[in-house]
Amino acid sequence: VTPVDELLEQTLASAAATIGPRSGLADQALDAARRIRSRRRSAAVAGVAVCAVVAVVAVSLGGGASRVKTQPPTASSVLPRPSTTTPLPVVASTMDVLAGLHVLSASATTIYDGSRTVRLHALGPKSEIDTLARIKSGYLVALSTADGSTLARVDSTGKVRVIANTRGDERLGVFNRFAISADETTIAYARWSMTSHAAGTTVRVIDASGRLLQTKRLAGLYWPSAVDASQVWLSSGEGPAVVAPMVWDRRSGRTSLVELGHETVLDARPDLAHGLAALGDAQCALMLVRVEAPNHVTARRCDQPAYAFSPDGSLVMSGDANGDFEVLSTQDLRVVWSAREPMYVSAFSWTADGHCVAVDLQGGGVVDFDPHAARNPFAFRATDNVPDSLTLAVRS
Amino acid sequence: VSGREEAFTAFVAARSTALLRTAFLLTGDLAQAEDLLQTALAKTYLAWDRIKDMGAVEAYVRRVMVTTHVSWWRRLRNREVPVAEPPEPSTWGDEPELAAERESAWRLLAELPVRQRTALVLRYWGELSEAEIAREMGCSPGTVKTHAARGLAALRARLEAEAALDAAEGGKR
Repeated sequence: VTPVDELLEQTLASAAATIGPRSGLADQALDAARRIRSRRRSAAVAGVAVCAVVAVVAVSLGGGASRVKTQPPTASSVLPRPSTTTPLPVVASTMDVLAGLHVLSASATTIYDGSRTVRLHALGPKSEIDTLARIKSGYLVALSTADGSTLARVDSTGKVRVIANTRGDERLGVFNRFAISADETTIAYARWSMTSHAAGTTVRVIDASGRLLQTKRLAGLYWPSAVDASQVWLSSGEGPAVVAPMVWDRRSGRTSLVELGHETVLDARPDLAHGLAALGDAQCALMLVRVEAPNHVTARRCDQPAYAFSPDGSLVMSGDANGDFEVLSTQDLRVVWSAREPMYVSAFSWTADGHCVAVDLQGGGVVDFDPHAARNPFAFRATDNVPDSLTLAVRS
Repeated sequence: VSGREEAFTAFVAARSTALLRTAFLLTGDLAQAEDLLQTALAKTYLAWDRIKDMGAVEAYVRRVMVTTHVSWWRRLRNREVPVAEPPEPSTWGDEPELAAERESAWRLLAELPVRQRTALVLRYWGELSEAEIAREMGCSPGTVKTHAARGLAALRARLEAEAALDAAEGGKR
């Protein structure tokens, strides 16, 4: 028997050898690039038409050249501390931030929550946490398991209580993401038929006890990104194709597409007076849109794959694979704080006292930092005892 | 045609076969591989002016392929249509026993979790170091080591199980 590493090498070489040269790849890629650019331009034009003043601000900020990097931030760039430290609402998980940059291995059943680690019990092999939110009684998690998907509550000891699942049912799938309202009374999740894509998606809204409140059938495949008493924000994606996010008005039952050419809701705060959502596409472009007028672009920035709104919605933190951090005002898109650290940031969460927690893929852990500190904002790192496979409790 | 387009076209002409092969090994499916490469090349073209080290363009494309593939996989993994036998390359080698082993390894490789498969492809086909794989996968070298070790262990266990089953069936006959 051939040793496995030798066999693997031979197998890969044999498989690769079956692929010959292809012509026209450059032209096809150039066409695809033009389509992406055209979508971006259309979105920008829409923004200018709707809100010229804000668009001018966005354009002036959007080039990247005007960005100022400081390390450590100067005193003038230190953020003012928040005046209150009230408990934070729990909304959608930052695990929605650019799916694909997150490292969750097949054994990822550990929640890291700032000061403590919670290991989930009673899960089968190949289980992993896909989406996570902190709730009063512990955590809400969407899990992928070897034989299906599960939405469950987890208490602080790691005990799992299932709310909904499709384990063992090969005909049904549940998107491995959910949304929970700020007051924790409403949870939205989606399921679809594995045997017929034409059947589309059924979005379910349940209360905290698991009682079904509403359902909505949609053509196409969607997953919820944010929910409150009046709306559900839904993201969508069909492999390489871009599909617009959708807003479902729960009271009227109507749905409307957010036709900006962006496929993913990165973070959304419909609970705020003038709800905000950050939309992104595969190129990490960001648009801030008002929930009350979803097709009106109010701002746009690019190249930062991770975003999170601050608890009061006045700021949005962004970061990227190069360790560039920025805090932007959601009112005028001013960069109010920036820094650079050698990190590969994939997700953020704000804490009640104004700290930020970031998943650092390069260091394989979690970094707790304080953009309000005048010196050494990144002084504290909680990376040592965190396993490779981790996820982040959101707005704990 | 702009200088940027010319440079991009020349790069694609020179490296697209190798990149398509990598995409095929990552996805296990030629149609998906072509989609993946096209998406990665389009993203690369849009970022062309920001790539400071033109010697590292291939690594940039590979990295985009890896992250995009994981992203697609996360969305689509529960929607995969199971088939009785995975599509397989037409040539596995001349010797029947060797060909059977490679065929099994290819089939089992397709069943591995996406990041384990990615780590193994980059290591055994791309011949990259752990540090280079870590950069392309956006994780630590320790994580790469873990994914590769788990992937190899799983392959080894499944191959041994299949060999034992074959031997038992041979004995019965």
